[in-house]
Amino acid sequence: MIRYLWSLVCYFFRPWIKWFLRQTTQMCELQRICYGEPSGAPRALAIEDSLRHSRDATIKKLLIYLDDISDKCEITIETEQEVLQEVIKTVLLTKKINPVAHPDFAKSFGKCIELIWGYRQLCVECEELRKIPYDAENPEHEALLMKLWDSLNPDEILTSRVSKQWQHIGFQGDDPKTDFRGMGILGLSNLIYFAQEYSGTVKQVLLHSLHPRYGYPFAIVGINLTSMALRLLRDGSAKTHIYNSSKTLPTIRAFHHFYCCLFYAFDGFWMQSKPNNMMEFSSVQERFESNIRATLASPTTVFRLNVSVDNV
Amino acid sequence: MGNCIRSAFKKLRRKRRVEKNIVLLLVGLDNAGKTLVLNRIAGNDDQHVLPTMGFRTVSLKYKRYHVKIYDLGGSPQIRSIWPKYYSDVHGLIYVVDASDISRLTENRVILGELISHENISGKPLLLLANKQDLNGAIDELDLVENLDIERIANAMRCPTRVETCSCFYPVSKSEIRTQGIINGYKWLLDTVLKNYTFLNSRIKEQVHTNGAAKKSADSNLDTISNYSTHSDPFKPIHELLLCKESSTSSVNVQSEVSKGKSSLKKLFNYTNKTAPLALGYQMSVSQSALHRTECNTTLFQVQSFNQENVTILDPRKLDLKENGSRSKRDRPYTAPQSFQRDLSRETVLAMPGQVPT
Repeated sequence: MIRYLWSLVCYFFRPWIKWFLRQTTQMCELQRICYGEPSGAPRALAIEDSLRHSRDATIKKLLIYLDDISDKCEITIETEQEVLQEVIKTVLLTKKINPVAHPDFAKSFGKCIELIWGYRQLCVECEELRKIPYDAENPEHEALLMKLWDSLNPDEILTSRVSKQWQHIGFQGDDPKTDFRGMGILGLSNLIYFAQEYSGTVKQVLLHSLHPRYGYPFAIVGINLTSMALRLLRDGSAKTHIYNSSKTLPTIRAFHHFYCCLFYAFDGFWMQSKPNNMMEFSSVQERFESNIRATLASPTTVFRLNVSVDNV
Repeated sequence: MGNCIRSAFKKLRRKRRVEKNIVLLLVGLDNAGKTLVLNRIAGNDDQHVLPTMGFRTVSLKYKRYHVKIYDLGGSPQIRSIWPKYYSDVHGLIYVVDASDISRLTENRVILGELISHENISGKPLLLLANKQDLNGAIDELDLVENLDIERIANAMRCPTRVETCSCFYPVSKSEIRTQGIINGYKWLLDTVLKNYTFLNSRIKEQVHTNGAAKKSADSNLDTISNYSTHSDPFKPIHELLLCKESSTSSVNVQSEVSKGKSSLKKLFNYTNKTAPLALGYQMSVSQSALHRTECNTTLFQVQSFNQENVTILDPRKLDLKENGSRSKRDRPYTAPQSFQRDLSRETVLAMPGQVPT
């Protein structure tokens, strides 16, 4: 109730406050954010908030346009500059900002736009990947699966496609194809990225997962963590990390990196909580997720994988 | 006045409600569709489920009873933990992937073990032949024949009902397909309610005896099921040796402890529950032969797990710094190895279809 009243108050008084600040500082809200907030998540989040609350017809139209192209995944490295220039031009004109007097504004504003709608596009991309179920008939998918094995166990040769060896890396049965249910190719590509990009870390994590007492099925946990990462991405909690870690347009690699950080953190968390058996997974994961959410709530959060681990 | 009466009624009703809780267990092999079946029971339409890690509980209401369903993961690693939940449940739901004929033998073994467990026998069982939407799915008659349910269920006096069902369906047929789940669920609850006093007293009794047994017997069962305790690498070696000695004799100790309560046959069944079975495992022709060898299968499992650890923890591959000191032996931990050697001396190696290598 109080929150509802507060939002009403905000709705009515926001224009007045904005007008007042505009008169005193001679800058529009976007400019104040770009100059006042540190770059990365704080700035991008504030810009996003400001744009979403805008009641200007042109800005609203602009947002609809941006949402539309990002939902269709049309922002690529080639089209990006074109889109950004257009957006910046529109904003400069509607907000009557002189680009000569404020050369920095266009730059940092463009960066924010890139992050915000790149993130939206990333959500769509991940969802698309998730929707593709693993298909044993598809040679591409099979090749991906083999790649996963090779990068996780470079020294061991897989004796056959259906083999008990899959259980070593934590699949449920002899054939991993059914274990990708729910997360599809996204789960698989997450695991492959982790195994290839952080081979040292993955070795350590895999070793932990084979711990005789606190071990866990590596691949299945990985797929469950994919689902968790996707959940965080969808509800916007992952924004702080993605905005802070991305220097350019966030791509699927940003999601993979986020996943790797989560996996590494989860491994540590699991080992630390010393569960009695696998049945505690859901409660441990719940606690882990709330921890991560709390960390992500702070706007300066950025996850990094401990690089020194790779050199051990 | 009216409010007063109403609140009094409510209180009465609430009291009655709290009294009766029903706990059901939902098990089956991995990828059988347990989680989706539970979603259907709970009226949840989410079609994207992940492989269940550990377990999930769902609380529902049926008439004026609280129903709690444990959805356990079906992967071989988790199956060894199932028996811990057996004592708390009033009824069982076992889900079979009817389209996967290659795993029927595995299903038969697992289901046979499940029913003949001393904490399960006599409790009502609902068997769901899932995935009827797929081509090649067998119907309930074939399933009953293949899994040999009639004989086991009669021997263990489990009221059993078999239903066919499917969780994916075209919109028009939705009612027909999920009807199996709902009908079966209702039947199961009604059966549980008919025998509620008996089942509930049994559960309470088991909880009591479990508590007592844990104190006295130092959970010998766990040491067998969790092969891990022996091979924990962060223990001093003398502890491991002690552990080893106690574990090799554990089967004997345990049989002495509980001989009074249950027959030897049941006891062997119980220990066997804790280990996942090898895939190629064939049920032996006569049930009695199975009972005799079951203890050995457990040991085989222990052995094979240890071997798995050997291959993965191989220090040469890990490139650890302390490579030099360890590389002389082919495995890093002494205690489990000797444990393993002891076992291999005892076990019958010529058992058909069970030797993992």
